[in-house]
Amino acid sequence: MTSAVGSGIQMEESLWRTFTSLLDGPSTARGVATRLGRPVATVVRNLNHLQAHGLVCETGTDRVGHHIERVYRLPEGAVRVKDERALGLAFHETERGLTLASFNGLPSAAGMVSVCVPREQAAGIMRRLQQLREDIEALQQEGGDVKVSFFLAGWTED
Amino acid sequence: MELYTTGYLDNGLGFLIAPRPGAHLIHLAAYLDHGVKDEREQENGISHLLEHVLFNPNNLTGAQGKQWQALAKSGARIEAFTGKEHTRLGLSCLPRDLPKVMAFTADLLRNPKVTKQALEHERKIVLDEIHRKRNRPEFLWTLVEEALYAPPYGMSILGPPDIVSQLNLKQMRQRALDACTPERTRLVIAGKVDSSTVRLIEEHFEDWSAPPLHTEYRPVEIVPQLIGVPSRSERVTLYLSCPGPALGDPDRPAAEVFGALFGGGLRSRMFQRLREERQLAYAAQGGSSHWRRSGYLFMAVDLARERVPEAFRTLMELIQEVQDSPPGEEETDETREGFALKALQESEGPGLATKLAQHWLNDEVYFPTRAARMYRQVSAADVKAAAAYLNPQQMAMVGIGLDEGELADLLEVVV
Repeated sequence: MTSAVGSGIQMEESLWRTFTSLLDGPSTARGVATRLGRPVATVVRNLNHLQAHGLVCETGTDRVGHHIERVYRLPEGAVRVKDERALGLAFHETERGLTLASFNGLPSAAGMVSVCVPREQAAGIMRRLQQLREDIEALQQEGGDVKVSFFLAGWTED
Repeated sequence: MELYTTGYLDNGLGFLIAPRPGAHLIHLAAYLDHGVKDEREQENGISHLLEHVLFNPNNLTGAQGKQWQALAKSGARIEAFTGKEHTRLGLSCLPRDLPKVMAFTADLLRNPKVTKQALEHERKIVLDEIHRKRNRPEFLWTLVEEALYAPPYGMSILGPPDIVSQLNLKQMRQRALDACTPERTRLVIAGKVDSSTVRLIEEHFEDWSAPPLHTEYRPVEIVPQLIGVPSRSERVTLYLSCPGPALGDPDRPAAEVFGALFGGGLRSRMFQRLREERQLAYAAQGGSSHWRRSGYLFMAVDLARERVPEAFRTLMELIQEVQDSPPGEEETDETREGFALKALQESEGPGLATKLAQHWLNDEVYFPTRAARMYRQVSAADVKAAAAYLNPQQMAMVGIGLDEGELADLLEVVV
């Protein structure tokens, strides 16, 4: 997953939807609003909020008729999802990303892995997974072309 | 028939002379292609403060002061204005005083004087103007532009007090030199005047030189936002706006006609629905505003706090309705004729100079008869197409009496 530095932002659903819509690539606020079927002004509000927390950045402008509109993208790096309400959406986005990867003929070794572990081991395993993610990130060049997104998360089964 | 004399001097200064039969006075206006559009965020308000410093006659000293005193004794009047796209210095005088007024105008523009005394004097006045306008709801409609556009068009003309307080003498002097150049200047002279005035223009401005302009053209940026100005008042004012065509856009006359049909006057659809049929608001109006580089359609509703959700929903339904069943030929006929008449009426009043200048800054010549003809050519189909500019999804909102969250909730629920 591309993107960065969560810093205490409360990812309520509308923010999260705005954020994840940029996983498809850079877009104007109007583009995001059209994808989500929401008013541009509320998407702009979300983008400003995300930008203030370093989760979205600007990447130039697009010409639309006689006007221009700002283009937003996710920053380089990784996102730490800390709000469990966002988990379902993150899960959905990962599934969607894998489907797209498969559709586009990207490495077939990618797949969804779900492992059930005892509660007392969970924290340690999560730390090791995070270390693995940092190792993977260290392999990437700045601005490199990321082809497959990995989603690392722990959750408790009912 | 409208007959103008237009031209450019070699230094880039443009002039337009518009004789008006039966006029008793001459109106000379120097329009500088300089305004908020030329400001950076950290110097927002500099154009307006500069206009005060340069053109308030009370600040004029030395030869300029004496020139003005002599003109004032003859009844000459002076006024100035700063907008998003231009700064205006206007003078009205008797025809016999035109040579003196031309000399005075040339001196003001060619030798712009920014003194420390004038700067500090005007700064206090401008800061007071800012506070006055920020604290009175009737002036807050300008927020509609701040809600729709990114800087510089989304910045206020007056600027924030903290920036205006910090603008220094060096910045102001440099800005005066940047703003007052022949290339940026358009002279519009209307009234009891004839084409021989060209010689007077040449005499005073031909040897004016300045380094060529290298300003980068940057299209206007649209960023619809929500601006709330919360209060505990029982009254709320909503201002809504959508991007629209610019002054020179072929869609503009139809957008104006549509704006008037939708929100102009007591018979408009907005007024009829919100006030007369549903009694949801005391005032409900709309229209359009057009600059050289952009334009917008706006709606304003003044109402009781508890009626906001219903009124907003009703307004959104009305927008949908007007797009599904737009005004027909008959309804359009009457409104476009009203605009045609207004264009012709303007040619007989002082508003003509402003219209002429607004277009002349775009290097276009404005003829009231041609404008009237353009309005008369607007068809019901054109109005239907213009209705599409009113798109709630791309709407900016200002709520006087509401906070940003309340505005977001309104918009999310309805759109």
